[in-house]
Amino acid sequence: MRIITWILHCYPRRWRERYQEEMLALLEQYTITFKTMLDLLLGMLDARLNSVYRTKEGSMLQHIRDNRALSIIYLCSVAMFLITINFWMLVTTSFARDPLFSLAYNGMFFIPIISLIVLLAITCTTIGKAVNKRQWGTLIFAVICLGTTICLFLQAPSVYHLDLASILDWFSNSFYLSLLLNVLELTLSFGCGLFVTGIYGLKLLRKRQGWPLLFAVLIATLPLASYIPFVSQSFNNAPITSTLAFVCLIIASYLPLSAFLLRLTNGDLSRRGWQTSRIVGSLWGLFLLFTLVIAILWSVEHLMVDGGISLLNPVIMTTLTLIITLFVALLALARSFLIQPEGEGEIKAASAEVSGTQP
Amino acid sequence: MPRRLPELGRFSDPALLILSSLAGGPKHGYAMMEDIDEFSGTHLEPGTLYGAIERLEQRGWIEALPSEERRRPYRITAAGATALQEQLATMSRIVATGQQRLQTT
Repeated sequence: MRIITWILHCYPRRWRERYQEEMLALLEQYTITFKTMLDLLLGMLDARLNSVYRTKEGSMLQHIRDNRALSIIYLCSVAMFLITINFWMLVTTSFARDPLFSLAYNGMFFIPIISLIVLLAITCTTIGKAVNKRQWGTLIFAVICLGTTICLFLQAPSVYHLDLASILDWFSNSFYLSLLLNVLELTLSFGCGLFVTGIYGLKLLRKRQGWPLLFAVLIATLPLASYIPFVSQSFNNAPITSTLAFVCLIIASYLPLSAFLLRLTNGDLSRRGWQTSRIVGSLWGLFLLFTLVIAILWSVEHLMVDGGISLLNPVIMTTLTLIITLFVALLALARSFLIQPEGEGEIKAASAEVSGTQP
Repeated sequence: MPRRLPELGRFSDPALLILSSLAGGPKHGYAMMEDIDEFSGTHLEPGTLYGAIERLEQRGWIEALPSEERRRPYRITAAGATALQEQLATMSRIVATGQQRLQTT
């Protein structure tokens, strides 16, 4: 019964206020089996994904939606940049000597540049709004994003070893910035994680919320932990490794930072922050599992290539990984930020009717 | 509001069973489960039961009555009775068509 009570505790608060007592009364008469526990877990997941039980944002709704849209566009731009720069590199490598493709691979170079310009524009817009409304937490977040965007902008040549005599390549190599930016990139990711843990964690400690604090720590450390599979010996030689590692570091930083942004704009620390941290942490865990599966498949592929058998196309694998990365990022943001006030009204009316009070 | 049980997704069958059970009079959760098990042979788990109850309540097809010793009985509403009637009419047509075609083969 203790396990059942724990499972029921994982249901949304509003669901528990409505149904927990009668559910417990039923379960006390019921023969609980493994199937019952699985069914309750499924019901918990269903209730968690039900937008009716999300907390209402009140007058902050419009502002949060603006930031949600900005965060989604930001992540899309990051993903677009990664996909297109990778394709550009692959096309350059494969067709460099074919005159028919010279226009194509030169033209593709502008797509990642446009993505980065979008990133910069969004970040600057967010900074402007934060300054106007004196939202210092949002401002800090936006400045971190701006710094990391500049790192992306300047690091691309060194990461992907571009050979073009472009201003980017000249700038990063001439001033030995590539080495510095490699370190700065990692520092920013780790620093952001510590920032989230530090500010968020201290407040959670003060409110004695152990579980949200644990998840906050997990979110802070996952950006580095996700890199571990890609530095081990068995994965080091896979061409897909650098792209996946880059994706892990960048996307892993922005997902928890987006969750932190929501917490800052909301102002209600305990419930919304906990829900967002848990959803982000869970989805990130799934993504990490997926990248590990990909890395394992790639290792198997390498072993089989030695034997003369080739199963997987690296271009397809890379593309699939990046597309799924984008999907996970969007899903995490959508599930974290989605608010439907009309559902809020229905559940309120139902609750009021039951209790005999006015909604 | 559209009276279509398939919109309830994986809860459409449990919802139909709950509405059928409540058509016989108000019941609380455990009584519903026993009644459904008796007339249909389907054993609903508590998680599925309350998932369906929640959706039926949101649509106004059932309503909760005052609690009695931690148990809360539910009863079917007029809208729920209409939805049940429509669904059963559709299923009756399917049963009649199926039986007729079996007889001719």
